Amino acid sequence: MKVFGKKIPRGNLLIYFSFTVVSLCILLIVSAVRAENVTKLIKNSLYSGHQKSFTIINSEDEKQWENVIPDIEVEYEHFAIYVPMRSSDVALRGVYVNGDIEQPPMLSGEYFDHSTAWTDQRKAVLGKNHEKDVSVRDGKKYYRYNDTDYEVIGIMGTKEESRINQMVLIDFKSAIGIAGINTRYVLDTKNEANIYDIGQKIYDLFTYPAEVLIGLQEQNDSTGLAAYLSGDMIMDTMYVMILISFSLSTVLITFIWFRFRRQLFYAWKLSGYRKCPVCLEIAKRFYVIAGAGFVAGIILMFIISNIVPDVDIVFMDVCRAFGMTLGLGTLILCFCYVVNNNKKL
Amino acid sequence: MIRIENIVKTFGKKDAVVEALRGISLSVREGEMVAVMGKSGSGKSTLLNILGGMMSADGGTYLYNGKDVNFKSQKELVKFRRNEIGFVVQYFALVDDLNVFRNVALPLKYQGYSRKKITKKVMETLASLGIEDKAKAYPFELSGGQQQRVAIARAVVKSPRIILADEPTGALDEATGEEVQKIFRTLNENGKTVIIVTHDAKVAEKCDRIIYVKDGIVEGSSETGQNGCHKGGSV
Repeated sequence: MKVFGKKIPRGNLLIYFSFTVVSLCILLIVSAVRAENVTKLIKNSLYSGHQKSFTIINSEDEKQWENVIPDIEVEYEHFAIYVPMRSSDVALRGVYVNGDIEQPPMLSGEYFDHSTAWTDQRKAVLGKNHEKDVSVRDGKKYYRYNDTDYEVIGIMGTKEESRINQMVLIDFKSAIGIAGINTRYVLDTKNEANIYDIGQKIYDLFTYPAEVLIGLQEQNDSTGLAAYLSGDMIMDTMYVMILISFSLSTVLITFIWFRFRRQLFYAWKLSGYRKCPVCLEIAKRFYVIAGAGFVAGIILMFIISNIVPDVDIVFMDVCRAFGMTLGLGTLILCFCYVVNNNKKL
Repeated sequence: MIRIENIVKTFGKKDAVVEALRGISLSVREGEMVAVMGKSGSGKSTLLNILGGMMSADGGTYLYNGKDVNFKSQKELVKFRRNEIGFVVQYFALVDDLNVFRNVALPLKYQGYSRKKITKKVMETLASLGIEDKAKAYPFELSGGQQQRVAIARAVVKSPRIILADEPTGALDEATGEEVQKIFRTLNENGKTVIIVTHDAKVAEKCDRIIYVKDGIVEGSSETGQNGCHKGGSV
């Protein structure tokens, strides 16, 4: 087959189509997982799903958290503490973040990290419905709540109307300033096992007369298989299985590609190519075709996302899919090269 | 130039061992044009592959210009093949999706030549073989004779001292085969040492000397009386 006067080897076409399909599959999975996480976050009111509510009572020191937080930070990471507040006009919530936690979908700017959540400067992340209330001063955006200005560091939201669009998140210290230390909190951890340890630590660190009301018994209401089947594990397993199936077919196709390219490898051998140039030439040829397949996968994904409203793709999905496809492709190439090299093709 | 002694090569394992070469010894002088003749399975192609460093021997010694060729080092074999040997095989071994120019340029890649120098060398080689007008053609667009010329061009473009040809006329008709044979003679007259493996007596007769191989050993040799420049090779 000739394209623009250049002959395209059959093996290259196979690799190209294979990577188009694998890339599309990875893009769909990445996009679906992200959408699933967002839906879960929305359903759980921005909590990850492993969170624990607790209340502090009788504390006489409004700054007691400033003694407690550093002690927890030293021992644990990847957790957040939220301060849900009742407000008639906005869904307001204070946020403390340490490490990597579930983040809402951001439309612009950044979500809270440790430096912006645990600060004496007032910071806010707004739901997109509040973007119209933002004012700009000295190149910075501000949101005014109860006659106090908060610097807006990011705008979050979803395409469809959701609770996230209505929320206003502010830094932890500002939230304590509004709600007072004796209030209800939500502890949210990335790793479910940590929730009880961090909860216990908070319980221990708030000393008399302050008291922490928190239930620290682990709930085991479902056993092994039931827990497995009740969770999102079925979908996740299915995604992994689909990916494995496509990857195996790509392995097979890469083997076929190596077979079709025998002529070239023999010509290299006759010409006295060293191992390094051979590897370089193989990698160059393979990545160019796989890359073209990936680009075709992205184009197809864009077409699908324009036709099907439920499928949506963002730049991060493309980056993640690229990383996964590159990793998968490299793994397959190395495996096939080693096997073929042993056969002395 | 080339001297091999008691070269042994076996294939397969346990019960299925095949002894392709059973202690073969021969020598070829610089500038000679030698034919290696024998029936199918006599070990002549294996011999050629060992002479060209495409394959390592299981035993014996291989002296090239008085120096031992180290079969244990793949790196050295590759270097030897790259610098000293030009291969021509029966079915040309051209790469279908590369045009003639790129096929011929293959051995020059990674040799430190500039693009300009590669173009010059390739075009000169193609011109010397009368196929410079086919530079942009793909192998499948050429006749058998033209394809073999391209294969020869690829073998000689890096200026090796030895040309090894495995049944170079086997896939060609008689007239084309003769043309190819003439090319080898010209290369030989220009100073290249040429070793041709063939089972075609007509091809062998046009060489300076014929070495007969049978069951993995040299059965004998004969001078042909052709007008080669450098006579005197001996088994």
